[in-house]
Amino acid sequence: MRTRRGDPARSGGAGTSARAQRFMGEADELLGAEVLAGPAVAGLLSAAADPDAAALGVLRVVEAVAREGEGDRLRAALAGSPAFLSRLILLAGASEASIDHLVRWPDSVFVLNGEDTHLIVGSEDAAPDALRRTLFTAVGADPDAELPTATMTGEEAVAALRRRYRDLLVQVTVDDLAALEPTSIVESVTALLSDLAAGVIDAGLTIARAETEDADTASLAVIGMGKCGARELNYVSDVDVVFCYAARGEAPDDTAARAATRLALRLVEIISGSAAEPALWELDAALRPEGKAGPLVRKLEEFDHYYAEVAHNWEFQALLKARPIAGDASLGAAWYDTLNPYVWTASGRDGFIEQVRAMRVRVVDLIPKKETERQIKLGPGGLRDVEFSAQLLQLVHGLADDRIRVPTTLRVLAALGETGYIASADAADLAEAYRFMRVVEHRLQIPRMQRTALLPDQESKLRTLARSVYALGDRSEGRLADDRTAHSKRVRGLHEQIFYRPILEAAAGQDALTAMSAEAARARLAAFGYRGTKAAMGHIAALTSGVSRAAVVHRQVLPALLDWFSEGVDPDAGLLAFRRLSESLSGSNWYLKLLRDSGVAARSMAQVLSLSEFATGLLLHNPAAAAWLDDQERLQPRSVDSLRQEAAGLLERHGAEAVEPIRALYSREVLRTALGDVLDAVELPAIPGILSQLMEITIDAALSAVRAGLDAEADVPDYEFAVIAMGRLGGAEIGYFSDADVMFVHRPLVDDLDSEASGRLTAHVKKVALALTSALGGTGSASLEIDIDADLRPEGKSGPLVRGLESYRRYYAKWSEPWEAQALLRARPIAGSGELREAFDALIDPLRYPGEVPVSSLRQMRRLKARMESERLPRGADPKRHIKLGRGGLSDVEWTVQLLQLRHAADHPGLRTTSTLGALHAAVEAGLAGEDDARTLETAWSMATALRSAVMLFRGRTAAALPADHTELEAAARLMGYRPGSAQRLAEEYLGATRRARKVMERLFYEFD
Amino acid sequence: MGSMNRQQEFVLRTVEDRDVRFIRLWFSDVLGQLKSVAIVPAELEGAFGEGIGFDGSSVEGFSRVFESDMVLRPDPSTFSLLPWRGESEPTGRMFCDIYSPDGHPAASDARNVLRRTMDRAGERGFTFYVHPEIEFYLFESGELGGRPPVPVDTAGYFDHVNGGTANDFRRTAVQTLEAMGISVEFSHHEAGPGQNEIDLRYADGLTMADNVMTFRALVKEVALQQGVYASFMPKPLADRPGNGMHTHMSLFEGESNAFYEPAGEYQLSQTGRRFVAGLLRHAAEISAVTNQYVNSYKRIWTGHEAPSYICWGHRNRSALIRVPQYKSGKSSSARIEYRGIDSSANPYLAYSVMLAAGLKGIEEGYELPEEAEDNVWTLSDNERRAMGIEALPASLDEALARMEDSELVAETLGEEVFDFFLRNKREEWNDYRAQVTEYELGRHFTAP
Repeated sequence: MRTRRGDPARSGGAGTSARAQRFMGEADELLGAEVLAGPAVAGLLSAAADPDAAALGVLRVVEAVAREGEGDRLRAALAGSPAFLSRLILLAGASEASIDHLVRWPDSVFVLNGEDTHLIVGSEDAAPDALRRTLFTAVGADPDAELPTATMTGEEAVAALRRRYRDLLVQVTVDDLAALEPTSIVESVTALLSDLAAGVIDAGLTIARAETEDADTASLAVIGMGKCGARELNYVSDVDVVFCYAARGEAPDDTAARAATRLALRLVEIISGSAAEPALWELDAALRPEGKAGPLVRKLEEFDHYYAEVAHNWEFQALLKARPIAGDASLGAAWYDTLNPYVWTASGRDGFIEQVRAMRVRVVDLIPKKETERQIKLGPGGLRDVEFSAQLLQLVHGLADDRIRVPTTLRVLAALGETGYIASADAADLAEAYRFMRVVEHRLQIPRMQRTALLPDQESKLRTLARSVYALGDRSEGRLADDRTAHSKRVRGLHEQIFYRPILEAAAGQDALTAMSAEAARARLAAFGYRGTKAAMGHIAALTSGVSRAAVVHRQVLPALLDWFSEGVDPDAGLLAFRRLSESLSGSNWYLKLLRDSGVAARSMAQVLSLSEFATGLLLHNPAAAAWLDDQERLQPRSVDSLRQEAAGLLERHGAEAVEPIRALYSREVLRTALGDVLDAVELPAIPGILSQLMEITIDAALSAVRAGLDAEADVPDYEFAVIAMGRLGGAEIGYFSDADVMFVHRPLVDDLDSEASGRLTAHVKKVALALTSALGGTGSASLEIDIDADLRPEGKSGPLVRGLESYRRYYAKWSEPWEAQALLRARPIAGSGELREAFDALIDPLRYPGEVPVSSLRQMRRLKARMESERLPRGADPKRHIKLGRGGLSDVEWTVQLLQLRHAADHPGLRTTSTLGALHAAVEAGLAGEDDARTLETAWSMATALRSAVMLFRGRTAAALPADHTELEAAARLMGYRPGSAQRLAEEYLGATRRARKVMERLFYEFD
Repeated sequence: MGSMNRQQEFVLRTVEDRDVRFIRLWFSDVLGQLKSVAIVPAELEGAFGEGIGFDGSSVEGFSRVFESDMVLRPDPSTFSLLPWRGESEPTGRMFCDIYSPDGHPAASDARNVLRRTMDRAGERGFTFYVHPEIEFYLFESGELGGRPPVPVDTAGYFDHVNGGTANDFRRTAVQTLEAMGISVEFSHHEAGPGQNEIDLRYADGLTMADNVMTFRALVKEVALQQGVYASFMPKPLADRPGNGMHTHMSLFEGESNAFYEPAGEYQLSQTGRRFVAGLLRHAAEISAVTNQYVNSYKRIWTGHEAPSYICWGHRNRSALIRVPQYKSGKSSSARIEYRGIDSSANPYLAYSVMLAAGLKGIEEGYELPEEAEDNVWTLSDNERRAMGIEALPASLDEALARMEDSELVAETLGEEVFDFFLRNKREEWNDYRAQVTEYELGRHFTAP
């Protein structure tokens, strides 16, 4: 272990640092006696959270007291009361801010003197009314008066009030620090802090009354919201309040309103304004109706009206903890009786629970990433998680069950446990974690009395913190870290489970641990977004009942899965898919093990099941792939080389029989890509290229297999055969659909064939093409199909299926207009003999990259496009939303790029590519298109491409248009990387992007001005 | 789950107490035509809960085939009895929001467009307030029979017409408006014969758009009862002033008027100046929405103090935007007046684009151009060009071309409404262009 000078951990009672001893000596000199330098004091010092700080603090206090000429009194008190001395050292070792207070007010040190174990916690002085009296007395107000008014005013009153508050706070602090098990008194401490805050606000109001003109025209009630309202306040945090006023006697309403506003404004200053004696904390009235835009004070009827007519959902949630804390008690009580019932009507409103849950997600998103780990309050598994879970369940079930309508988090947890809405063991675990984290939070605040919930990152500070958390046993920062991790992990785990575990039990009809009815379970499922709650209960029961291994594992993982499905676009569908998958796999041990042991795999599975019917379908045929789900590496696309090698191996081993294994390989790799796509393991723009490569490798290998079978038996001369990809496959831009547009070409390797041999060859190559098409086609295989379509060949369906290279040459020689070669811009040989592929490219290059395109040809091309726009669009289709042929859709962008290629590729070799975006970028490079224009076209094209893929992934079928169905749109948006809830935004952005692309297209392609 | 809120309960109770027989559910099509579906009280609870389904394909602008099923959800805060239905058969009405069957706000709902735009202002801390001065003509009949319409009187600006229809009419109209909870600021006879103006007291944008819809229905109703016909057509009489709907606008931040600045020129704050600058810069591209008919441009381009040029002024009665005289002691009354819009506009969409243009000016910090002090009508074309004063579009055709290029309008209306509006208005222009008018026959019939 490393040691440093003044290292507090070093001193296990063995002694104090030289510095500390020197400080004690100096203090004794000031006191004129040996009170502090002895071994007993050294022992106390070494037990303090920070012994050096403790010694310095004691010296500072002694100096200040001595300056006041009270040295003798202090000496006597210290000598007479070991408890006094021990408290002073404890406080000085943990709270610099408290020592600052004692240095400002040396007299106040004597509030630490007392005979009982506790100075204030648990005593009569801690009663709310006693606190109120003490604070009122400090400013000379009569606590029993009808309209209590301070006799002191101004700066003097403010200082007196704040000082008395801090005297009491010092007592609370030292009691808390002295507790051997601070978690056991945390509720008393937070209640006391809340009552202290309420008392000081009430006493502050008496000062404001004394200073405010017309103050007696208005009654004012201060309502505490949030933690102060619930009596679970921290040492330092904003105290949220709202102000309710009523005119007194005959006072006109506007006079009363003005007086009440002035009272409230002055009260805020008295508590939070800067003065010689520092401010206490922020008194914040921002939670009032209409927030900061609304008036500071309102009448009861106005509150009533606001919550009845105007308030947002989250504002009702805030009411849950509201209670009158200061000012006019009967007005406060009336406020409570009127407003509190709104909490329970609000939770019944449509969308209430969803909105509350969404808010939680946003809060977590807002924490800076690097701080989440150190956040005791907002981080995952932190205080907020416990508070939030408790509140959410309270809102879901409190409407029907008033037993859980209590404000304080710890009491809510207890009530939820007792009523069976969560397992009582879970409730106890959450409460324990909550207590622990509250203690840590308090210890973070005590040193500087600052509002913070962020653990320090400095080791020495962590050490001091740990020593102030633990009074006994191991006081190291290591224990603190371990305890904290254990608690927050438990909370995180419970957070996923507590909502759903009782549902499982209700579904199974068990009531061993909880007592939730099936009805309450369905209400909870509905609150979390399940629509068919009866069917869902059925699935849950089917998955979890019985004693099979599968049922045991399902009971374990389902609570979390149900939660994840509920965040998906269609929770019911996700659950159903899980049931199907699990039923087909429940015999596999590895599956159950994976499900049980890998949180990542289960999470990924939930996402795949709820977002992709396509991937789910493939997964059901290839369940072994579920094993990839917890491994990012295995979701990455395999390299082309390794896939080609695997295919070659299959060909070598199976020869003509290799088609089926090759197709299995293809299915498997498409599934891998789809999973990587859904789970964001692969960049979206890379997907079309990956899919195209998989298809190419498959067609190439299948062609070899087919030829291996057919060539052996046939009496034909040697020949080359190649497959030319056209359209989007040619551009390597395909999605998850099966179409492959191709042309077939062959070339005999023997010169001067006689016509008979040539005829045999012609018949044979046609057989090869047909065999290839059927080998990859739909029937007779469980694997994905590739639907080979040669309709784009010369003369279409009436032309020969396979042409010789020379036949292509003769055919193309008949073309007179360059525009006729447009389709060839996307032609790319993908399979078969390498030399023939090159020869084919050499044949078509001069055609598709002509030196010059006559105006007549351009006009032809534009006219053709214009006619297509009016004729090709399916009847009734909305031209804005049609992905391929719509306004600014794929075809608009592609034709624009292809026109540039036809006209300029001869001069600019960069344009000689089948890739749409490649050519577009080259056009910018060559100065043929503006950067902005190109970006507009690229955005629309990429969105359309991604959209098509996304819908295919979700529904398992192709989409011709931007989906009209909201669920489908939402799923597409998520698959395209939008945040949840962005369906409408995707639609707007797609329509906007394509509208802008159309404008560019009209300028660049049609050259409309 | 779903439970009645207080407002809904209030409506149900009123319907019962007042023995209301029918409730009309009102909504607007994309062009601002009022649409109405009547339900009986027994259906009301269901209307609040699940809404009332209807076939949207029969309504202008809702006609996406796959979205023909739509749902009306009445907004209980807009409930009011229709005074002209009398006591014999009490009838109530509410404005509705339009939803898709799966419960999402319909993209084609004009009211939703305004709600969205006001929410955007709300995110920046602003509430949008409006008060319009609505002009209309009273004619003797709604049946024209091929002849020009005949005004009910021959009076002029602020004239008092003894025993005239106009006075009775205005009194009844104002009383009826007040009975429906729509406060009237002012009413008087306007410059044209039979032309009247009624100014509504300011309200937030959405409430005011609802009020304008109610106003037009109500004025037509009262006119019919008095045996005359009310027309909001932008320019019904060739040689008389058109029907403008000068619109005063202000933004509030909480309680305080964001346009007010005691030290600013004309007490106009920087926020106010930027809002005006935004309106000016985008005036041409929003004009297809604020002036949506072929006929609208005949109002703008035939004098009578209609604002043809894009400029602002203080006293200048020909400017597109006027910064009115500030009434001392009333900071809340600081506002600006947009004089381009006419009485036939769809108030939901027009308020949306005007607000969006002003907000754009604030967001981008546009500089306000110099004030136009002269009557810009009297300047020569070159003088105006030299001063950088542009003209509003001269026709619907030109306005549509400007709108087509406007990202601001597309973003504000949403892509659906934007596209529908453009297509609908293109058709209108094409139909208009196909007309052979009296004018042409008169001039060219006998030409060589």
